[in-house]
Amino acid sequence: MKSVIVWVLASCALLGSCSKAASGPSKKVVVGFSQCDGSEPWRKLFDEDLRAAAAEQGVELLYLDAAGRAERQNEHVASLVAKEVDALLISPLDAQPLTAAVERATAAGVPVFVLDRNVNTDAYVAYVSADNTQIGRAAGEHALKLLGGQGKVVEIWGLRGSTPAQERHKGFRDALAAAPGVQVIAEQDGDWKLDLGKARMQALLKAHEDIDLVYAHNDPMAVGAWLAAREDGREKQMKFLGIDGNPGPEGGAQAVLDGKLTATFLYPTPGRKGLEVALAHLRGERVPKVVTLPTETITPENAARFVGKK
Amino acid sequence: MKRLTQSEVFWAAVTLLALVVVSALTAPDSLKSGQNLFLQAATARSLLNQVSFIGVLAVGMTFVILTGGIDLAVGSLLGLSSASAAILLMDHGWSAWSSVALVIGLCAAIGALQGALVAAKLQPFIVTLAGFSMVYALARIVADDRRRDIRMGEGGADAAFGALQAHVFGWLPVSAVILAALVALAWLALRTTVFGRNVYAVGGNERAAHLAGVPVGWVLVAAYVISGACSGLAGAIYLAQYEQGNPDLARSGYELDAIAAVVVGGTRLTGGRGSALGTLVGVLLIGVLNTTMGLHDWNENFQKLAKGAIILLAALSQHARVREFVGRIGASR
Repeated sequence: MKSVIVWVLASCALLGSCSKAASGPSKKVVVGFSQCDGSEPWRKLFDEDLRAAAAEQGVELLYLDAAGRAERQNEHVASLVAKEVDALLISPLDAQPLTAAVERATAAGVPVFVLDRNVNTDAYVAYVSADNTQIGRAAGEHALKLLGGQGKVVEIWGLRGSTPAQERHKGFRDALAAAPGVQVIAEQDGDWKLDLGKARMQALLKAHEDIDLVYAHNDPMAVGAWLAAREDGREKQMKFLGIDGNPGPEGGAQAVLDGKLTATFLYPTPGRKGLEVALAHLRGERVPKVVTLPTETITPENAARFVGKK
Repeated sequence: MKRLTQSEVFWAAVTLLALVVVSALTAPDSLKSGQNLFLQAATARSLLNQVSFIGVLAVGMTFVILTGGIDLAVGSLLGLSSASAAILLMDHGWSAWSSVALVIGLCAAIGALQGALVAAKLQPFIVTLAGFSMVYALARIVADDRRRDIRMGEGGADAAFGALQAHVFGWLPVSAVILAALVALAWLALRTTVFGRNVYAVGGNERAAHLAGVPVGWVLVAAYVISGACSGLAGAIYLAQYEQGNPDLARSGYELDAIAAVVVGGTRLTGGRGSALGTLVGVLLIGVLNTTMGLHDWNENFQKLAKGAIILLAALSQHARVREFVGRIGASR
């Protein structure tokens, strides 16, 4: 245990020297960002967008990742408030567990900007997000167009009970209600994951011989479903719709370009817009309380534009 | 003095103290008013809030590990407890006391089932791995696949439940006081009662304990009941702190945090040696380390690396050869 002490002391000395070197009398705008789970691919993209925007604007960004834990994110918000950042951006893990933290930050005089998921209070300056219900509706309307008002659909859910899954489900169903000829014949829970999306689709393919369209709540599950259909040699008989449309070689835009997905629907990250709104507020401009980011339909015709998008 | 310097708890406590001092000395200042970020009531409050429910889990885990077992189910029990308590408080209008009592009882009963299987000579790892999966499923079924928010105040949960959210002197969370009381209770139970002696005996050598007339089966059942009950209590604390019962807490790996705290606190995974006090020190050590690294903007990856390193060092410090080696260096001086 003595060695532990030596190790801890050494590492702390290192810590101390690093921090002293980094801190100087700078007049830069310092923005704190509390991310709920930076390991998710979409949130990585979100972080990249925000970092790039911060670098362009010459803003110092303090980034903390709670790795999917409410208690860590609460601690992170408290620590950014204690640091007296000029503005606090937060993408909460979930509404209620972070509501009190956001209220405390606002009470301490820090302007708070809530990104992506909301909190159960209006004690913040602005909320910047895409609208999952609206995106689900866009997917539903596109499905109706593809099917011509007649067909059988299977739906693969994200984590059931999670807000984005519920909203993507609701918007899609709202749109489908316009065409009684289009039926959802089965729903499965794919937990946002490619491997589970594939496994659920394998079961669905055995149970149903006449699937015309697969709607998955995100692109990885839609690609998983496509993989399952290809194993059965049936991938040409049905359409595959996903959501997110991330850029990069693993993203949904590339999957559309490769002909795996028929279409996907952009779920834009609030990274850039979030910082923009925060800086506008710091300059003294009036900013709207709610900023909704628009979606875009990604099809083989325009997918190339989204693959390399920054 | 020799006895003191040879105990793991002593060295873990010294390390903790050193870490606190170093954290305070190296902590960066706030950007505008230039206050030391570590020496603040807000830092203490958020640190203690964070460690309290993991600490309660870890105290229960200590009993199980002392018997030479492991309880992987505590993470999903945490989810089950928080979600069930939320439903009782909000949907059924139960009082705080009866809600908390019921979830503690429920988790203790699940612990009893696991303990009975372990007493029947099934491997603890396998039993509680199965338990982890089944309790996770049960939590999601009970919660109808949803996270369950609670609201305090008019028309919300029983106001008495708010006591779990309160702070003494404005910085000391009631949950941390509960943890301290629980540690004291566990320490007394392990040091001064026949049951405590039996726990050490079973973990030290199960066969010998059996031959010496220790009711091995009952001791095992009791250890898992305690771990289950602690998970139930931890779930109630979690619910109070974050106002959300989350059946998916099983996915967050809190059982591993609890095990890590127990090991860092000097309790042997092979059983028979260790203490509840050590576990408290272990929980605080990991908590302070996390907080300090957070204040220095070290990212999550480094925090994970550091936690792993601390666990390894704690394990190494318990290793017979390492101790012998360190002892020899000491003697040659």
